[in-house]
Amino acid sequence: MTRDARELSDAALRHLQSTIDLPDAGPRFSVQSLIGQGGMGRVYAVHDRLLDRDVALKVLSLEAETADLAQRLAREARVLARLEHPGIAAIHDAGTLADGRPYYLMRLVRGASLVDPTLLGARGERLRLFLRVCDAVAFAHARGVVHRDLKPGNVMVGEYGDVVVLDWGIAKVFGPPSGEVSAMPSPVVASGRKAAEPEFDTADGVTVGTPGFMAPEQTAGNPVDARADVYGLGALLRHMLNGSADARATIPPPLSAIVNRAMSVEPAARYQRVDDLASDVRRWLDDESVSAYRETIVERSRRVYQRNRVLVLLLAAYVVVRVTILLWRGV
Amino acid sequence: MSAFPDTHHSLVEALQSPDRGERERAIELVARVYREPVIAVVMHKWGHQRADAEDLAHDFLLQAFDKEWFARYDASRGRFRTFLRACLVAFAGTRAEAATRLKRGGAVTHVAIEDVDIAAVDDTLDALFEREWARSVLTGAVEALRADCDTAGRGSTFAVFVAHDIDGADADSPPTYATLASHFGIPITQVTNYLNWARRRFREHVLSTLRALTTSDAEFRAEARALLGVDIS
Repeated sequence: MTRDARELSDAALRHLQSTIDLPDAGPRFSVQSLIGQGGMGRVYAVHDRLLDRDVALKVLSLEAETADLAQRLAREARVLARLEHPGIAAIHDAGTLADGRPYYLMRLVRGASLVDPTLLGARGERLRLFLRVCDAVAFAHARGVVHRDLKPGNVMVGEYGDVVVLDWGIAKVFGPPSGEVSAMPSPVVASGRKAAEPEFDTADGVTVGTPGFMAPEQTAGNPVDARADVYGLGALLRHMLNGSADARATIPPPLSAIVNRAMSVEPAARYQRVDDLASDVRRWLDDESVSAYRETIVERSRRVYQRNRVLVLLLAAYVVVRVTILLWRGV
Repeated sequence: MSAFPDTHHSLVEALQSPDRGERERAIELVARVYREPVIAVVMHKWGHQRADAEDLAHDFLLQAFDKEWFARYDASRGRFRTFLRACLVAFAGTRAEAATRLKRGGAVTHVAIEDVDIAAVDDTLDALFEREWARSVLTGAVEALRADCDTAGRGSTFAVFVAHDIDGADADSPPTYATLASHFGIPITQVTNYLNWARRRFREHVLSTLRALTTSDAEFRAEARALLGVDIS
């Protein structure tokens, strides 16, 4: 077949442009669609013909391919491999495509990111989703991994309400490769023993992360630990409560205090562990006092009343009856 | 193995190379890739007919190579493609002005490439130039792929590629692999294999052209991003 290539139509041009970067995934996988892209790579939904299931394939973009980024993708695959948790997309395989680009395969998460929190329903539901994000991040910390880029776009809520933390491409990893709980240089985990050196890291002074969700020490290019993720979770919580990364007018004071403590400029002033942050959120959900907020007597009374309304009413009724009886007898 | 090296020879250096063969290859590449975008811009901005636009494009490229305008390209000020387009606007604008002056009996003015303002081109022209540049790069890659297939005796591979990725893109409903398999009398897996092979070679030709057309790795990546820009479905 011959063709005057000058006749390439606009439609053919667009198609070819999108085709160039398609991963050469071999005969086992058929590429379905592009589902995400970032500075480092692209994520495609692909169908695994052998196992008859859809999975996600992350591959370095052609234009982004450098030895450094290839190494970062490989790191991300290794990070995911040590994080087997329902809140973290499981990795299935990793390697190099026929076109020379590194890739890895992972669980395909169908759903929506937290970019638009208005999709998430009532405040209680959002907080319970947030707690599941905390669970995943706390697990990663226990495995010696700091995410460093927690933000709404990196949290997916699946079709069945499952929460998955994505994009571990700039995660910082401490300690042994897998299987063992590592030494995390946060005051809690590292207490009583020497903190491990990071296994993977960016160069000194290099800033990675997302403005608005990045801890100040991370923005400054200084060393970070698990408390950088506490800051990111605080920013995420604020976003989930407000639908905006900045406004906070509608947040109840205890929740606002939780956000403020998580986002303290000084790491030492933050929650020292994700579990502490999650615990405060859980306490607020259970209508209990939170460590980040000192209640007034009125607030405490109101909370106690709301929490024990039936008991209070019964007690009040009992007192009224007793007083009435006493008054009756007195008369 | 990396799909492309971290460094590559600068196009500008190649255009000034003392090696005549290298210099001519660079000139041929620039002329081949940029001729159609230049013609499109001239037709759009100055309303020329195609024949006149082709003449002007020819004169522009001839003068640019002859007077070594492209040697004055400063990578810190923008992409080579943008610089070339700005030179074109200056050249064609001066031509139009000169034509008016001649009609009035005035003198011909010279093109002042030193004063070319890379940022001064309007968005519409920019988009047109970029689209035609992309079309030109991909057109060249299709032709190179065809040559590969001819050499390797893989005419069926090229036919499947054209049917699916070029003609198929124009169709209301693109052909399925099963349709192509039936049409060409091959198994569906063979359609997949043909397309994978053709796309890989096509991709290599595109990247190779981009590498040759750019003057630094940063520019190469920027141009590749511009060319490969895709929408998330």
